[in-house]
Amino acid sequence: MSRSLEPNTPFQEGIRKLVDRGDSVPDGWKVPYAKTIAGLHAVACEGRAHIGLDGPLMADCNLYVTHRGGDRVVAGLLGRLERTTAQTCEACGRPGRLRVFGQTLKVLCPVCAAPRLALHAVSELLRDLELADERGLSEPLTFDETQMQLRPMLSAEVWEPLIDHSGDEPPTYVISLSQLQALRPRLEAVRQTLVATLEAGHGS
Amino acid sequence: MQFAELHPTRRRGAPASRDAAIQLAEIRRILAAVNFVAEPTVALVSDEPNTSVVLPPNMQQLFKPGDLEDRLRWAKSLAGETKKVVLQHLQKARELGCMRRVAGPPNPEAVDALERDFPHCGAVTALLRRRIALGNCCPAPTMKLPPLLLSGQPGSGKSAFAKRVAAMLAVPCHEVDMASLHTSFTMVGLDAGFSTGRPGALWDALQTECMSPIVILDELDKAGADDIGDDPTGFLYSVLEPLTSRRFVDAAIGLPIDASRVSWIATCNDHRRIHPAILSRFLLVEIDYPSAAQMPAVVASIHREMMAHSEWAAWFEPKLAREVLDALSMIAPREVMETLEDAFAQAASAGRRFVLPLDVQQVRRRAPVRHPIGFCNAPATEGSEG
Repeated sequence: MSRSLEPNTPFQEGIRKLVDRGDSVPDGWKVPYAKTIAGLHAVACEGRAHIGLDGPLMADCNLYVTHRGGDRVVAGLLGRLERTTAQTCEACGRPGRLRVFGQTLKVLCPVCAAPRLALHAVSELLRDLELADERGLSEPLTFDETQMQLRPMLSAEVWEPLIDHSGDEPPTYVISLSQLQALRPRLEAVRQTLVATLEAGHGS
Repeated sequence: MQFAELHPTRRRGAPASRDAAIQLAEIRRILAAVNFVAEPTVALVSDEPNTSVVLPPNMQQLFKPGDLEDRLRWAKSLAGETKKVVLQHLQKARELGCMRRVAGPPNPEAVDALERDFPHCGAVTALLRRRIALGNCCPAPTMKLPPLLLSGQPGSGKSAFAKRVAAMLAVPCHEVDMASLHTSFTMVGLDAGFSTGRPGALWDALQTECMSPIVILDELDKAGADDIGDDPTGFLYSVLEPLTSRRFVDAAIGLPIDASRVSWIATCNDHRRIHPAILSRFLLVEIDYPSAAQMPAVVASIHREMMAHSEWAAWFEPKLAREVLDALSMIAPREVMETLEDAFAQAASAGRRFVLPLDVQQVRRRAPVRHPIGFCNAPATEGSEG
């Protein structure tokens, strides 16, 4: 298979488009994307001149480039891009995984996901507290039901053990709704802090 | 604030522990940036010198995170089954985090209830009250019992009392039967160099969300050395000393941990059989049988406990008649539970929902009379000089 330096073939044209559209790729995925383009450049040849490339396209969980008439090598390079980006934080490039924020999906590392998940958790809690207030509910929240991201916002003193006099099992901790209602202003302040952090570009 | 992270139970579907730990650290960093810190706070020393870490009250550092990472690297170099065991334990410690809850003082009402149920343990209850007062003087109220040795006749309720104290403090309780302990490996672990290397019970006791569990050493006076001369009580020399217990090292795990918050309660029948060096490390409290005036309260407490935990309890009336209480008050505390259960069975077979004094007397008559073997420890009988 002879090398092709002709710039106007569909394959070379496709690579050029991918380079031009590189700015639209999230920062964290720029490195695997650049590696893929370098790989495509490296395998460009006369035999692959007809291959069409289209992208970059973003799915919920990865970045991908489609091809028409590609062979195993091109398919392998593009497949690796999909697999790598599915496990790379799209914000910072560290190892990450798919996270769910209500209706939104993003591949993020724990550092970048933390403020988003915390914001989601605290917003849900505030909404539930509002509902509980409206409906006059009083059931306490057990520790196991609490979202992990809320834990740094609720200090140790607010958790009360349900004492099991047998002493065999570790106690279950609960927080009463009245205590949570008292914490609402504080939780609201946390929510605003998290919103400000995200707006300031944390992990974006 | 890290309290929640330390809780052993994780929500179903929660992210893996390392991921969760990083997330929590990041959320804390964001909150700390806007001075979101629970008050009051206590400053503890972190891994880095000259760095004080602001921590919420009732949380203390069990181990240094850097030390844990060192031990994890070391554990990966081990071989065989020991590697698996040691790694599992270290990973669990990492999952629980280095910051753990310490026990806070209980409510005064809980101490009142303890005093009501164990009137014959007034000396210990008074000590508890003094310690609670001391604990409340801390910026973040904490509770730490001195090592207690409860000495008394069999069946006087020493072990039951120790368990109630643990329940009252809402801390995990670990019981060790010292009579069946022949080496200290069980408590302080067996070196990972051995193929059967395992961490000890003290390490296990500290692998919960709470770093101030109560460890009950039952029948301390009956602990005996094995054939190779390993003294099963040898570990007590270091763990009962506040200075050395702050850097307790399990033989299998090798990670220095702060075991100084553990409360030790030992029980024995004859404290004179305990080595003086160990005895001097405990605060000795002699527990006598309840007096005739105290017994009805003890019986009522046993009855409450039985009604709370027996499946058949709902079938019977919730209270015992005064005459039944009096009849049961003539029995040693240990025998009250089985006698009372037999009396309930007797009442049930007679189709009654309440117990009569007759039921107690009938089951007492059927109970075998126990004679002590020999005469050296035989109780003095009426009329004798002994």
